[in-house]
Amino acid sequence: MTEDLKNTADYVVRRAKAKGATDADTFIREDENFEVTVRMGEVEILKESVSRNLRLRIYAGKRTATSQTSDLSLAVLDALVDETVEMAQLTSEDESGGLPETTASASDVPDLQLVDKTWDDFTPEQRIDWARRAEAAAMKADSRITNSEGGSFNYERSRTVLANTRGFLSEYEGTGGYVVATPVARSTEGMQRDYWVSVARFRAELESPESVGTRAASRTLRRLELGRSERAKRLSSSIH
Amino acid sequence: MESNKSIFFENYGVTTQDLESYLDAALERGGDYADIYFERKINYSIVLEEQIIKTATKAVNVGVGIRVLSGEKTGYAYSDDLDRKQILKAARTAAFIASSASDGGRIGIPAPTVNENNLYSVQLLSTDIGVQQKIALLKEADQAARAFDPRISQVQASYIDETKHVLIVSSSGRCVWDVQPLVRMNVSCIAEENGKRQSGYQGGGGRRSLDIFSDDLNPGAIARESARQAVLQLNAIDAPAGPMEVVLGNGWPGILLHEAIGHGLEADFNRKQTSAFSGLIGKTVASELCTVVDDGTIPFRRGSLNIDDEGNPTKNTVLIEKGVLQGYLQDHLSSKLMKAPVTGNGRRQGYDNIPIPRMTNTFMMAGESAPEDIIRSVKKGLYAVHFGGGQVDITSGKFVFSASEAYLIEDGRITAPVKGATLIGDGPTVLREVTMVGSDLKLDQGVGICGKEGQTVPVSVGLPTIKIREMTVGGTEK
Repeated sequence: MTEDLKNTADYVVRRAKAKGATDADTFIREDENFEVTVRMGEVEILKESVSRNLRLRIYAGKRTATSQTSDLSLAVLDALVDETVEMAQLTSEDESGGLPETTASASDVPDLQLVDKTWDDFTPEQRIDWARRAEAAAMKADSRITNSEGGSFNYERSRTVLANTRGFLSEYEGTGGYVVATPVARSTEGMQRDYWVSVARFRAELESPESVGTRAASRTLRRLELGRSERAKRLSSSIH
Repeated sequence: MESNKSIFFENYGVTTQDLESYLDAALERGGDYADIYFERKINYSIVLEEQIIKTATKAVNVGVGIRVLSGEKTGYAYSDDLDRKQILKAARTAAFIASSASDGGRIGIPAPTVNENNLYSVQLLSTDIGVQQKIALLKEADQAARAFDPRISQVQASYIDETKHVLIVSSSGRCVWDVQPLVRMNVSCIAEENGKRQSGYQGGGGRRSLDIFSDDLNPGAIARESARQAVLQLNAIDAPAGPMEVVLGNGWPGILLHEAIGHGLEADFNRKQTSAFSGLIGKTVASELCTVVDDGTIPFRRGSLNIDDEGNPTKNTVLIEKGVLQGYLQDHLSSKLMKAPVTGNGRRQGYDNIPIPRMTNTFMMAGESAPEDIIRSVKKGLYAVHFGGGQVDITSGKFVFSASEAYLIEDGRITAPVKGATLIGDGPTVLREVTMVGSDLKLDQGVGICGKEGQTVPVSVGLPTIKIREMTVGGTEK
């Protein structure tokens, strides 16, 4: 798939040049996403997708136009490149426009180690369980937590390809996930809600769902307390 | 111009047989309900800054979202590839939410229909008009703003349009499509004098084509209004602080109604009992002068829709009648679970998002007071006519808004402009304090963007001039 994306990126910048662009660069991203929300102990939303998006920037001298598409079919890409080149002729000259004078070559791109392969071992059942545990930890933290907007787990893997008319063509991948809990607390004075989220590229760096749930609960309770002390202050100032 | 078939059948080769196979796949594990949302959206946006056309952008987004419901559970998958195999794969992924041995069952797909009373019929879609004409609008705005006052030092004008094609098919026997145009122009200005800098902002638009930018909404008028606000603020004094009488001007100040009341009346929050308005139907939540509606059926309005994003016709829904809470804004799922009628408020940002209850055009009905009388009745207070933005916590009901144009009212007269005033309050109680409602209901000019759960949708707001007996103003006075 990534070879396809690299070919597409290369094709797009070449076509731009052939159609009269002075310079062009393109950025293609492919995202794989998994998202689950558990509310009151039950799975509420399960969402999965693979999506792609191409962004294109065209320079006609110091003039710029850009475009973006989720449709990477050849006919759409051809028409979009051509139209973007035409649009670039219609914008104004901008002294700050243009690609950088020298661009890095693909071999200069360091491996920043943004991919954690251990996510692959994390089964859908485990992912759902993490969402469930985050919510459960929040719910049992305090008797004043009586409701919830749920606990969620999200995983994303993305591939990004970049190409320009000065010969740069490279790609990188990245993974990431998060766990979030949003409990609702109630007192005689009303309801409050807050959340806590842990985000990490590497699975081992993600806070445990129990920690996320507990911290979310304490943040929500803090709002309940805050409301009370404010009212107490108002009351005392009206007495003076 | 208008075709009698959706582009998904005409250009993308979708057939009824395909749709049936997708629904069957979506329900193969026994979901209660499935729907498919096809979308193609084309946008153009152009930005003028520092007197030059900085950039022009075109965006094409095509995709299909498949949803399966099973009780309170939602399975969702989408594909930006309309290839049959990819859509079937998405349908099977969404199907996973259900786990029953039997097929969920569905009604046959009827012939595709489009709303006969199109609320936004246009001759020539804005996305079919050349970029030059749109650039001309921005240049006109830039010149008008700079000509308004020599203190205007910077102008940023932007134009954005959209044509969205949707086709919605469901297992309950629905097959409807729509073509939704949308245009908008914004002008923000900076005025400078003696080292002081202030900004102004104005915009306008609707579900029309470029012709909307003639008459009252011409680029010059939008730009001059933006410039006027910026210049006015140069001489604004610090805002007073504390509880006081507040008069909200008509039109855009309806944002307060949208945020403080509207969101709290969206059915999902109430179904889950997480809204400050939960359980209040039939209860008094506002003074009897207040009647609040959400009306998605106003021709050419930014928040209007022939059908919502679940294929239901939009409606005029009374939320609060003479102070009493009547009902919530429902989408398909919430209406089923709450056993309430759908109100046509199921909306989504796009094919990659699950529909949720959202507002359309939300406003308070006109009252009987003359706006001048409302001002005259205030001894000392704040008159807020334009807002920069605001936010609300649905659960606690607390909100805060910043007024970008406001004045002092002293002894029944509007006096000095003030800067930096914020309005602070509580959704379920603020409308109880409304003591006068003007006869001058106005909807905003068509700039609203509403965000919820990471999804943005276009909306409109509206308000007559109203007086709130007491509201907390966060001032800037030292």
